[in-house]
Amino acid sequence: MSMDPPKVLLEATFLDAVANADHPRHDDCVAAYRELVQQYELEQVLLVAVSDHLRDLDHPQGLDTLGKVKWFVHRPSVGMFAPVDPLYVGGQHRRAAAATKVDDPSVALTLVMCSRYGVRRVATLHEAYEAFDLDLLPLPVA
Amino acid sequence: MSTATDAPTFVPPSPRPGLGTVVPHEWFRPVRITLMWTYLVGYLLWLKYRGLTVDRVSVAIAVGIFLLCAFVGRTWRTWGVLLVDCIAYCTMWVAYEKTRGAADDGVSFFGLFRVKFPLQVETFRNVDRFLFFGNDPNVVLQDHFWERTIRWYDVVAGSTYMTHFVFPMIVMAVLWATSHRQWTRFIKRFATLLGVACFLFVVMPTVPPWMAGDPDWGYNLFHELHRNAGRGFYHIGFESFRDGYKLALSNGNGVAAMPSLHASFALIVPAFFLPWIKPKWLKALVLLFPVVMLTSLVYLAEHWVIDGLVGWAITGGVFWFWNRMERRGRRTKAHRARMALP
Repeated sequence: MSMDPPKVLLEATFLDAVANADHPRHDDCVAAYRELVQQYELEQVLLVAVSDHLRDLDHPQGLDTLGKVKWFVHRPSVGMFAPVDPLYVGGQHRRAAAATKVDDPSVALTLVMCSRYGVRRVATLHEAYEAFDLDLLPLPVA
Repeated sequence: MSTATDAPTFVPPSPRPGLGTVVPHEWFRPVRITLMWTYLVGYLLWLKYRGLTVDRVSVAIAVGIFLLCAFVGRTWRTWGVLLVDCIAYCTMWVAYEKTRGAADDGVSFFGLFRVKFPLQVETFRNVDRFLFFGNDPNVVLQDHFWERTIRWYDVVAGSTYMTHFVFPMIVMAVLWATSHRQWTRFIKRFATLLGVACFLFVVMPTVPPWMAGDPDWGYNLFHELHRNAGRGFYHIGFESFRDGYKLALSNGNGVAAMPSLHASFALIVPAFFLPWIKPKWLKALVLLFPVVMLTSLVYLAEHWVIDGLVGWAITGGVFWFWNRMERRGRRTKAHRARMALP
């Protein structure tokens, strides 16, 4: 039992579809994200994402080491993903992800973070997550 | 005629594997749980044989040991956040102790001049008399109930009084270990409450009932009242543990009475957890605790009734303020997201 509202993890493919206007599922994902933001505002859910995925979207041009450290210490809540809190990846998470038998390292890391942070609900376009006991967010089809 | 082969058969869908089947087990989790249970046993043994830790430093050490148990095997970043939290936590208590201690001497402005606020001797006593139709609640309760022998209500009053020194800190430690988000929510309310209380201690130093009746102090507002808040607690076999180094930090102040932090702390904990408590009878039961606390404080001559009522009002105000601020924060972030979306 958690005192917090349920966390919804925005997986890398979903984040990418929301951020990228050329993505074929962009409109569907934006509509779903708007709904999630509404729920966040009413404190019905908490929005989270794996820190590696979120940082790449916050700074698509990349960051130098100092920038990465600053982002690691405090992520400014700005832009379209302002309500999303990063789940910071530590060395132990990367080691655990490397020890899984999942081929895709990004999927492996996301599964580790879901497991360690008690996340059950995931917004994703990646079919790999369908194989696991997770509540996948149904996305409207335009 | 149907045969066995025609009969519809239900084939349950194959269950999807849980994350535990693919993600390696986190070995530190059982270690943390074992350590926390061991700590609990140790704490209870200490309570039985050495007493309830009540001074700030000992409580801080007890909380620190618990946090070590609860954070074993967590990431370096989590430890870093914990370190920052601990510094903020200790700064809050030191600022509180120092401000409270300085309250009766007034406030010095860069050593150039000192502003000393007048001591409230009769003001709040008169408010109590107004509220209770000309009676002094402290005097009435002690005259009717205080006896040489210790009665059951002395045990209730003394034990309730002593919870003040550990109850909020236990809540903070548990929140720290379970949900950093909830810990942050709690500490914002708690620190604001302490800040407002310190401000009032400085601008409104107040003579408490025990002092008002003590001939040594010379106020003589009524006859001398008994002051032995812990006697009911000690009667059931407990002691209070204080270590010598508390003297280095604690700046006790007999006239830091308005508002009552005993009453405020007794309300802030139930009020914080109220949204998660669903049955109405249970809500009523937990809200009985601050009422018992205030009644105990009045009976034990530690506070005027109005001290407790003002403490409750400040607690309510603090919740109102932070609920509003947090709602505003969520709205701002949601607005930023909508503005950036196509």
